[in-house]
Amino acid sequence: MKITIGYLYHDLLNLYGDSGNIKTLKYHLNEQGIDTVIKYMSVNDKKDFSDVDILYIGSGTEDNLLVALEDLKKDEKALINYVNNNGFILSTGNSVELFGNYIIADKKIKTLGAYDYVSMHQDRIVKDIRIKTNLIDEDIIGFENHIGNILSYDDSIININNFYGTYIIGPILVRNPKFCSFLIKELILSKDKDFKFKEEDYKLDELAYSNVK
Amino acid sequence: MIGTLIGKTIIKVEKLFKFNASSFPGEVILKLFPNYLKKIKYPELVIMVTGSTGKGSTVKLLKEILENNGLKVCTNEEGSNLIYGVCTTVINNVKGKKLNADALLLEVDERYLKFVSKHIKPKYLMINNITRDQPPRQGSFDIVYNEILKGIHKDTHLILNGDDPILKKFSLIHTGNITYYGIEKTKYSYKEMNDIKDYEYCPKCHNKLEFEYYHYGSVGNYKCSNCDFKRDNISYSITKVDYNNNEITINKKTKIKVNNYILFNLYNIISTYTISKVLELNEDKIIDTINNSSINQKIFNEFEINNRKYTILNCKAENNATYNLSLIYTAMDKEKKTIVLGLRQISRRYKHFDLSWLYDIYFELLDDKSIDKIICAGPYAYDFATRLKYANIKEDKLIILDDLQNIKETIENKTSGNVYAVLNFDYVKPFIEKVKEETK
Repeated sequence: MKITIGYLYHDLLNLYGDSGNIKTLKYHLNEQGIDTVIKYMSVNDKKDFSDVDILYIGSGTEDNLLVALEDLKKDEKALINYVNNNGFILSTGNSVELFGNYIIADKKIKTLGAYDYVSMHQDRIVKDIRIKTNLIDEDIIGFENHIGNILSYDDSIININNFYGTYIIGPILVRNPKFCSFLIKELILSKDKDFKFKEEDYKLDELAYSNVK
Repeated sequence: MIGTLIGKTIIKVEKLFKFNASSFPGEVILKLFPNYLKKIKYPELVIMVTGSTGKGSTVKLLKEILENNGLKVCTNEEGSNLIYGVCTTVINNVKGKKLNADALLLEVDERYLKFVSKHIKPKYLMINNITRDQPPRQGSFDIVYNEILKGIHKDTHLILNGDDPILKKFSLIHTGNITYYGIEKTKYSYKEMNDIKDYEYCPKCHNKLEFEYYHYGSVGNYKCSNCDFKRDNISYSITKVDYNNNEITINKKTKIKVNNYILFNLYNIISTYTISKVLELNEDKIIDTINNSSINQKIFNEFEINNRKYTILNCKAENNATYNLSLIYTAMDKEKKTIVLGLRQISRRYKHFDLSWLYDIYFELLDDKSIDKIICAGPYAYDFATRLKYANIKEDKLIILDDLQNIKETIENKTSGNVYAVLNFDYVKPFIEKVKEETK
């Protein structure tokens, strides 16, 4: 099996160790004997998602997020098509705002409208979080640092079909080994429902996780 | 002035009780007399230094150069770089209404520049760098850029690192003079290292910047793929680094001694040299001062124990650039070596638990045959070890220690080669003390 990881705006939306998520995905997919290809797509590149199995997008400065939005709008149809085909998306930090209907800042900015929510820019939120989800039996931990707030969703992780969006910044998959394992299993099973999983190695990750009080 | 009198009294009382809070007197005076700083007569030569790293080192070196040129220099204590600390410095050095010095040289926090420069107008402003630094406090480098911009007067002469596109961005707006410095391609410059990028798009037209080479992060020789934005007009640059003779050459003719090749050190030297030349100081005295300076002890320390060379590299948590430059430095040594990574506390200012910045550091550089062992020490040892795992470093190369208690025995009995300790600043002193302890 081969899995293609689409990495959107690796050189623009890269504020907080976001590339750690790509390293982790690659590592654990390889561990299962699966070949991985990382497909980098950034400003002015043609966005072709037809061969992508999971799409990752990280966080950027407020200005850079808008640069990415303008660029992504050029291939909006391809992205919406990917969403409608239930493609996997992991979106961390403020990139989660791109997939809703609007960002309400100084003015109202129309976003991609892939999912039905609105983000409101207000005072900066800086906090550690620990949350329970329906996805795994362990809390998800992380750090938030953003000026937006998503209206109509109380959860810190928005999960709609295969879309996982969160304001948690940076390497969420490193810090949350169970979530990483869950996501990778879902991804593999979507391609082969009879896949025989090999043993996974999250020993160091788990030790680091259990260190967080 | 009554403000000065009260301020000096507070400082005296503080000294009497051996209580030394450098910002307190300034804070009291600015609360009582908000315009106090505006009423002082300053010397014509007011220089401010700001940026994410290297402020203290450059101020210290520049002070020595100015003094060796016969000037009486007033500076703030390292770290007292917010408005109150600056005010205390002024109170300490004021006579009547006049600052008793030929030059006022201030290290100013990047977010406080706008407050300080509102009261005291700098003739020269050096901006060393704007890197990722303390995200919970600073937000992002765009925010820091905008905060600095608010503190720049139209006619202030800027001294900037021309290798850094985010600093070059000031030229799009600034109407006063700008002098750039830089470092030309060295044998350790690289074309492409990995996927960790800092600043890759043109601030003018948002198209991709093309790099002929990088020194680190997004610092190097860049030009926009679309418009005229590029590295140019470098007045003073390091044209040669002689790694065998501890010597650098500036503009192909001036030779200066250095005691290490960490890029921050080289940038601190070339920036200080540049402003000294702009001020038309005596060339021989500039070179002489730099040759004899000991500024680098803070970021760099070298000694030998039992025939093994120890190099201590002082880094700053939440600041990937300090770690990246240290790792690039360790990679220059091709001999067998052991690396120690350690950190006690992420921040002294807040309790957040954000380790994202570990993934903005090129730990992949440690995936190298010359490395015998990597010791991860301290409360975040497992986070470092996990980061190394994702840099493809095999677990049998790792040694994990909860603290520094057994660091000396571990290094001596379980590792070999030169020791490079890439430590957060809060682990530097405890580490050196431990490894230098006499064996019982």
